[in-house]
Amino acid sequence: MNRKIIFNCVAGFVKIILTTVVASFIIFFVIYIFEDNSQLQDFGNNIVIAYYNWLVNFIQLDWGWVVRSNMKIVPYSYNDQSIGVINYLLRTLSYGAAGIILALAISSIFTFFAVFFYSIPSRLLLKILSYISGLHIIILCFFIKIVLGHSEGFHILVIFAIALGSNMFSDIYYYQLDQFSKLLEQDFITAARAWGDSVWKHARRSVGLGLLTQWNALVSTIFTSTIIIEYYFKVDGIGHALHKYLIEPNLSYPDDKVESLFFMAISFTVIFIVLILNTVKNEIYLKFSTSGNNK
Amino acid sequence: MMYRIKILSLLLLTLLLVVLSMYQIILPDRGDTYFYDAPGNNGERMTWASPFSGGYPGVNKVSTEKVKLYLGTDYDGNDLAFRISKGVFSSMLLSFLAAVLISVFLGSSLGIIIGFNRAKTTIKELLNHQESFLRIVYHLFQGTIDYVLQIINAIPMLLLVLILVIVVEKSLYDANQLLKLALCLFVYGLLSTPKLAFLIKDKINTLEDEDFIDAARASGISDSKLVFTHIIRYECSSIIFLQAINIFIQAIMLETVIAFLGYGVRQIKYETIGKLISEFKDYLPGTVMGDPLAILPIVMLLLIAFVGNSWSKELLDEQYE
Repeated sequence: MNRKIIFNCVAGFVKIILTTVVASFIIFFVIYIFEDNSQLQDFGNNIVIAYYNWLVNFIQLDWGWVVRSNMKIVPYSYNDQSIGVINYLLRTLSYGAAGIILALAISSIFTFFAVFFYSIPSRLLLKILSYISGLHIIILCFFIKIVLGHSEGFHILVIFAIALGSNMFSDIYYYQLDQFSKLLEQDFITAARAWGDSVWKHARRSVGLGLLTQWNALVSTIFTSTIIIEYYFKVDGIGHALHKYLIEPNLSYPDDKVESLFFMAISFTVIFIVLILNTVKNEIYLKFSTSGNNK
Repeated sequence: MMYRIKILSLLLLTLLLVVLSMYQIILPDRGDTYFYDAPGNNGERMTWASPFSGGYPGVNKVSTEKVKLYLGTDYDGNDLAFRISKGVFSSMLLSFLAAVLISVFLGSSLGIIIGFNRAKTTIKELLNHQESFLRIVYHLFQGTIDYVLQIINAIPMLLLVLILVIVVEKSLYDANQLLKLALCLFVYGLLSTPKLAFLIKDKINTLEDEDFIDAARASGISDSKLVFTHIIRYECSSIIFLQAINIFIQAIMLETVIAFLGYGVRQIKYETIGKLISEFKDYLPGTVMGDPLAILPIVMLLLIAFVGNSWSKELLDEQYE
């Protein structure tokens, strides 16, 4: 049994590494082919050899320099002299996770009241929120700006914007509405309610499954939405870093090179983390759904 | 009754969108210029035309032709209705041609390849059962395509499109900006392919055990007819349509994001919704130079998203029923 678990872990890890390498090669390919005299072309004339050289350097934690600010790119930075990719990534992930938790909490609580207690205000609120969630995150940013007239400093709004403006609220809400409605029709729920037992006890599992079912989409939307939000609200994270080191310098000095090394470091790390999160989710989901069936 | 009202209002909104996007075509030929002597000219505020007034009178600066400007003009004296109409039309056409077509075509084809006739066994079992060499090669091919799609699915879309936008902007500096944007949306379409392919694969997998598939096979129907008529046409058409709407809306949103970040179309002769939004973002209500008219491009974007999402929700409801 233990040997099987170890084998599965190793196989999963190898698959993650392989997928990350191939996916980052695709990004490497795009930059290498389209940009003349890019930083990546310094690694070799042949694209495969250039990628191999870059990968070896990357594994040896030599992630290169940001040319314009002359700062070293490192995995984790402890001072202002270097740029730490994981520093930015952790902030993005924390904002994204907070957004997910908020979306899940609002959706679960109000859907629960709407389905099991026929609460009309909850239903109305959920409808309004799901329509807001259908909007693109950028539109939500505009509305926040129109209503509040500011674009900086509203850190708490970042979490709300991620929660409501990235489609995930809508997805979670529809899934939970479906699950709770099915649950309501079950005989054991009727019996539980007749006994005066708490229905929430039975609904909890649906909440967890709802989160796991939407997980793959959630992880990718976290990054996409958070990047835009960070750019808009000037909050430190991957999006802000991309804006600071990649977008703004290139708009100001279009003749200079693209900061390819910085971008590759971010891409590789993001892909790797997304794949790990998805694999962990698959394992949890498998256990979660199997344990439910056994009951 | 409520359902009919809902569908009717959706049809009306769709019609409104079509009429708005066609406004720039049905207008008399205005040549290359749409600059006017009218409210808004010479850096004045944008101005609403009062209702039922038939629009503001304007005079074309080049042809001196008198025209009605239904939404007044922007700060530079351009006909706002014409610009918005052109922006909506270009964005919708570009998203459809560059992103939706490629994604639907590739997604459906690859979904069929990785889903149909896929032996639910391992290579080892296939070898033990002494299957034909071609069958084993095809099985490997299906596995490879599946894996490649999983890899593409793992790439964060915005990151790749972002770097592509920057790199393309630099390397093809003199190229047509609309074409550069189309290239980025084309890549977005390619990256959206796995989602549709996996949806079709899952659908085929669930259908494989259905009785009507066995009956169709027993009656000697060819594989191609089984796939294209019974599976794709009758069972997967709603999935494909839903995904197409989703990609269409997302491609328009992506164009907005690209423009918002400072890239995208900037040449005067081209208009897109993203360009209009990023151009008018400093004039939004709430800002120092705020003006209610500046919200119009955002309203158009919302209208497209609302109409698209509503149609997909209706389709989903119908599917459930």
